[in-house]
Amino acid sequence: MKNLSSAWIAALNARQIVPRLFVMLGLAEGPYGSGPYGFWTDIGEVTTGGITYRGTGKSLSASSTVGVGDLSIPGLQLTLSGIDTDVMDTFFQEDWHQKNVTVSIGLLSPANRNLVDTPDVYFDGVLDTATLSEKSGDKATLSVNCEDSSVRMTRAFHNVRGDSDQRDRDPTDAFMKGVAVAHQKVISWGQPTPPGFGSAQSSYSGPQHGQMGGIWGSIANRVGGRG
Amino acid sequence: MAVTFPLSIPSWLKGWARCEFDIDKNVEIAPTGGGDLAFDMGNDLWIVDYQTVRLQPDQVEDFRSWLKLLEDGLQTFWGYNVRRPYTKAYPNGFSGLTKAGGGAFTGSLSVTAVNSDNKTLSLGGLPANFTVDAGTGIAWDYNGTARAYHQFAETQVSNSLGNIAAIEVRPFVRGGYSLPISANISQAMAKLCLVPKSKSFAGEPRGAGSFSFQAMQTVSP
Repeated sequence: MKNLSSAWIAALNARQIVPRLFVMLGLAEGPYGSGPYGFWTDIGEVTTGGITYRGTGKSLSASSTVGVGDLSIPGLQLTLSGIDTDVMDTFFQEDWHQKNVTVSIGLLSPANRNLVDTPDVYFDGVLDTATLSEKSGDKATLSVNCEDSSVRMTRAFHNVRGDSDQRDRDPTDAFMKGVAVAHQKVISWGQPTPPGFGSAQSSYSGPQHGQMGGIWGSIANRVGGRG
Repeated sequence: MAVTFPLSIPSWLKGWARCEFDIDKNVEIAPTGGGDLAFDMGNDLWIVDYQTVRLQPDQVEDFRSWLKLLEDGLQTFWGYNVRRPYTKAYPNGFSGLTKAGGGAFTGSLSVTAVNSDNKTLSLGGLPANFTVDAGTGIAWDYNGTARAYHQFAETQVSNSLGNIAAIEVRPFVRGGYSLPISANISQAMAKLCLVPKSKSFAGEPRGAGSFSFQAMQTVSP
């Protein structure tokens, strides 16, 4: 569950809500680009979290994020419209691909139009694809598709949850040492332990019941090793 | 000669049939069981509805050329609220008035403080006992050539020293200024640009007619 600060909760409870979007593009720094760049959907500049956000008014919009039940991870589209084509082109002079992007919601106080607290991040991802569309005699529209950082969880890696990979990380970490045989373990619920249990039916050559450390040993002792 | 922007309204134009200065608010109300929820999604920029008086055929072409220079929103011009260019007591200007501290009052004044609520100003450099009316505009430059334009939201009278301790304005004052602010209430001008595709021409037989268009404030330098 999302934790909101007391300032946020107070602002929401006041029922007069002045929300603004804050978009931070983590463009490359140094000789490769301009560095982090921020936009917000109001006028003028505001600095928060060390980033100065430039006002875009209504020119900037973000598609809504939706919750899905099929384990897919939807992205988000940012659109910057009504800007001169020459200005839009400067985006493509940056090293932007696969750079970080965050979209946050900030609340302004209705009393003084200052931020009530640091904007709350609701999308964290990377810049994936960008298209610039323009029509003759009209201004340009820049659309950027962003990929949620959660997509990383769907990628396959060569590492597995096994003892050797765990030892690669830390040679003294034996947490996974019983994983290789855990799936072969016969667990006889509510009946005497079969003869030969733990040796004939298992190819496990490491420590037997009682010798296993940690949670594995504990499980073995409880479910059959000591009958 | 090169044209410089922002443009001024053509001096030959005899007036406006319509000039409505208003803030482009965008508030949504969501009624709920626990009370209404109000969402303010707007940017509080000024938007102005203009309609020229009836123009003669030559004037029509002159004005059309002026509009062309504005390139449908890419270029800017200065606009003020013709319904309240000064104050109620001095509808034709401040000629002959003297500041409380001495010297002629031309409409220039000093904003000596901006309250932490970003909407209450302290003013100085006014004539003594001078009435500043709700609806009168005040403008100043900040961040280089960006132009702030606000209107007083209440009427206040200056003291014998020509100061007003607190007077509210709308919209809220944005950051980027340095105190004291040199401001102006004499035909206070906002920097405007055309709203694209908003202009239209109502023509009459024999070529006369009037233009209508919308303009929007810009706070770009």
